[in-house]
Formats: sequence, structure tokens, C-alpha cells
Amino acid sequence: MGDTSSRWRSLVIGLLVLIVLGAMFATARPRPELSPVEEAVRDALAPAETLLASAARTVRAAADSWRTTRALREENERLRQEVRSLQIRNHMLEEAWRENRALRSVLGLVEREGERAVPALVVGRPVSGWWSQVTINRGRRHGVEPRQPVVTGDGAVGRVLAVTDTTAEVLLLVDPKSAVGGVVRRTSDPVVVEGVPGGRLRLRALVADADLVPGDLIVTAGFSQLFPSGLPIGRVTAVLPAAAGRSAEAWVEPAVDLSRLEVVAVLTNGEGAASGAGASGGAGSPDGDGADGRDGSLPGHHSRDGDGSP
Amino acid sequence: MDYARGSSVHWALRAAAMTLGAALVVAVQRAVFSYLPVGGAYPDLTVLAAGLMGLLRGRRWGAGVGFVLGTVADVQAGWLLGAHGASAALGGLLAGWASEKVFRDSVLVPVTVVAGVSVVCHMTYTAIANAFGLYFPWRLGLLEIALPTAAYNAFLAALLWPLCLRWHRDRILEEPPPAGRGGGR
Repeated sequence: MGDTSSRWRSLVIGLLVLIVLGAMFATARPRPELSPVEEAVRDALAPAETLLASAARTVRAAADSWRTTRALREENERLRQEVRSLQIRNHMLEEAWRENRALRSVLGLVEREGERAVPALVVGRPVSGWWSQVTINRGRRHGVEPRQPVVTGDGAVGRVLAVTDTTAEVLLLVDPKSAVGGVVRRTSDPVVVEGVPGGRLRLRALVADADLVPGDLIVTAGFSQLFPSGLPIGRVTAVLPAAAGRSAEAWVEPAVDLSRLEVVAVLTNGEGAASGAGASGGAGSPDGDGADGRDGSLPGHHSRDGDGSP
Repeated sequence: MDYARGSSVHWALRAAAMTLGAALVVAVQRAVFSYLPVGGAYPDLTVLAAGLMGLLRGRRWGAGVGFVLGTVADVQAGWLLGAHGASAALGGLLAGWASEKVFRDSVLVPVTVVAGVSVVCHMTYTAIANAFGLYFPWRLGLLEIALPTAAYNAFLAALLWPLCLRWHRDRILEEPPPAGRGGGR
């Protein structure tokens, strides 16, 4: 009797181990579609996570505002002065923009039109510190699709990895699976910026004689099929000693504070929401109801997915 | 229906409660603790719960709770389904094994055990990820993820352990002595 029970237990454990190994094998690579079970679990947990995240955000906001009232007053005064100078600069930029548009039409360049920003709240982060992904409270119903870029006012955040009806998983730039093509704004040298476990970014120059100095701003490249060009990715904090035969490398501080993300915008092509639950579902406040794809392949970056070559 | 202890209905209700509890723990981890980093470190509630349950109720419960919590976390993460479940189950198993070897009443025991199993879990996860072709550097993982998480988990274990112990003692007083069974272990 005891022998049979022990045999059954061994059989069940063996079967469980096989299932787990199979699941790991099947999910070790990025997938464009989630399984129905995963979608159901995520959709079921989304309202609870939204509620909990809102509560946590409220508590933190209250603590923050109490702590930083004085700093805000000073910042307010500084910002008023900055607004005055920016207003003057804005007039100059408007002129430059008109001129630029006229020149682009002369040159026959096509602008990225029809893009629409869908605001979304960050409602969850992964349990394991290894992955740098966040869950947002906007999904297929709001026109969000895999591979769409996610941004904030400070710069690039990442891209949509997988979606359910009401949520989307966003792969952050600092995730080890992420690689984004960019340029050094000062020199226009092309680079690739990769995520490193622990929430860092590592830059690799794509040209042999790249000129990098600490403080250089890295922006998304104009050849990107994923991100609009000119979005800040981050600033070079330290240039690594170049190994013989290898291009220059550097550490980069992300332009966006990815550890404190609260509200982001997904740049959709404006078609998904209309064909989904209606155009009203996507725009407006992020507090409402609440894949992978390779963008070409970078030389030497076949194991990652992300932004790519022209 | 037969709701008596040991009946199939009793076990089904228990499994449902455990799954719901696991979902809630994972939701709290993802939605609340992501806003409470200390020195850049985040806790890992799945490993913490598995470790505490292992200490309180033994190897089988520790491994079971770790597996369920870790699997729910894996489903939410969408990568390497089962890796977190397997590593958290190992953590619960080790904590249960440790509980058989040490006197549990001192708060130093859960703090040390939870810190230890947190490191083991994260390094197991690293090993699994590397085995499946993902590049997870060992040293960086130990210094920047495993050790800070272990410290945060140990701090939370020190806070939660007296409550867990009281809850467990109350439960033992409520429950009739097991007849012819070896208890939870």
C-alpha cells in the first residue's frame, strides 16, 4: 500500500517536473501572443492591481508632497523664470519649424502621420528583479498592439511586448532583452543601447571611431522603425576602456526615471482603437476602465529583440 | 456536502483559497511593493511567503506555497514559465528542512533562513535562465539583485514572524490532533 502511494507520488512529481521544463522551454523566448490562460489570469488580476497601485500611489504622493513642499516653492519660482525664457525661445522654434516643414516638403521627406498617444497608468511590475517590465492599464481594446513604442515627456521608455484586452506588458529599455538603435546627438555617431540586468543601459558604438564623452545625450535614431526619431534615451555616464578590435562602449543613465514610472503614453498608429472598442477607449485620462517583434536585426544582436537597423 | 476536515470539498476549498491568496500576494508585490524600494532593492514576497510557510509548516507546505506563488508570478511575467515557481518551491523546501533542524522561536532564525533562501532562489533562477540561453551575469545578479532582495526580505521576515507564529499557534490550538497522520510535514 505504502509502496503504491510512494510510486504514485514519484510519478506525479516526475510529471510535474516534465510539465515545468516544457513550459520553461516554450516560454524562454519572446512570444507575440500569450496563451488564453495567461490572458485570463492577467485580465482577472488587472482590476485588483489597478486598485492597489492607485492606493500605493496616493500614499506615496501624500508623503512626497508633505516632504517636498518647500522644494516645490523654490522650483515654482525657478520654473516661472524658465517659462518666460522658453516662451521667447518657443517663438523662435515655431519659425524654425515652419521653415523645416517647408524644406522637408521640398526634399520629399514623409512625416510620420496618424500617430496617437494613448495615456496609460503603470499598474504592475514583475516579481523578479531580473526582468524590467511594467504592466499598464491599456490593452487591445484601446488600440494598443505589440511593438508599439512607449514614451513619457522625458524620453523613450520601452515598447509593448504583449497585450491582453485591458492590459499591456511593456518591455523597458533597461531589460536585458531590449536593444534600441540610437545616435549620439553631439556627433551623430550611430550606437545601440542595450539593457543590462539590474536596471542599467550599456551603449555600443556601431562605428569604429566613435567619439563618446560623459554627458553625451543619446537619442533614438532617425532610421528607427519603432521609435520616432530624436527621443532622448539617456546620457553617457562613463566611457568604458575600448578593448582591441572592439567598438567603444559606455554606461548610459536612462533619460526617464524607470524606477518611478507612473504615467506613460503608448504611441499607436490610431487604427487599433477605431477597429476595437471604439475610438473613445484610447484617448483621455489613463485612469479609465480599466510579442514580440524585431525591428530589423542589428549586426551582432540577433539574440535580443528590439529596435533595429535602417 | 461534506465540509469535514480531510474531505474532498475541504481540500478543494483549501486549494481555491490558496490560489486566491497567491494571486493577492502577487498583486500586492507587483502593485504596492514596486513603489516601496529601499536603496533600489525590492522584496520578493513569493520567496518570503514560501520561506515563512516552510518554517511554520514544514517542507511540503513551504514547497507547495512557493510553487503556487512563483507560478502565478511567472504567468504574470510571461517569461520562463515555471522558473520562479521551481526556485520558490526550492526555497520553501529548504526553509522547511531548516525548521526541522533549528529552534524556531528566536526571530533570528526566520531572518537568517529567509535571507538564505532568498539568495538561493535568485541564484537558482539565474542558473535556470542561463540554462535556457538567457544571459544573466552571476556576479551582477548576486550583488545587485539577490543580496538586496535578501536583505529586504529578511527585514520583512523580522516584522512578520511574530504575527505568523501567533497565527500558527492559534491554528494548532483550534485543530484536532491528526489521527494516524504525520501532520503537515
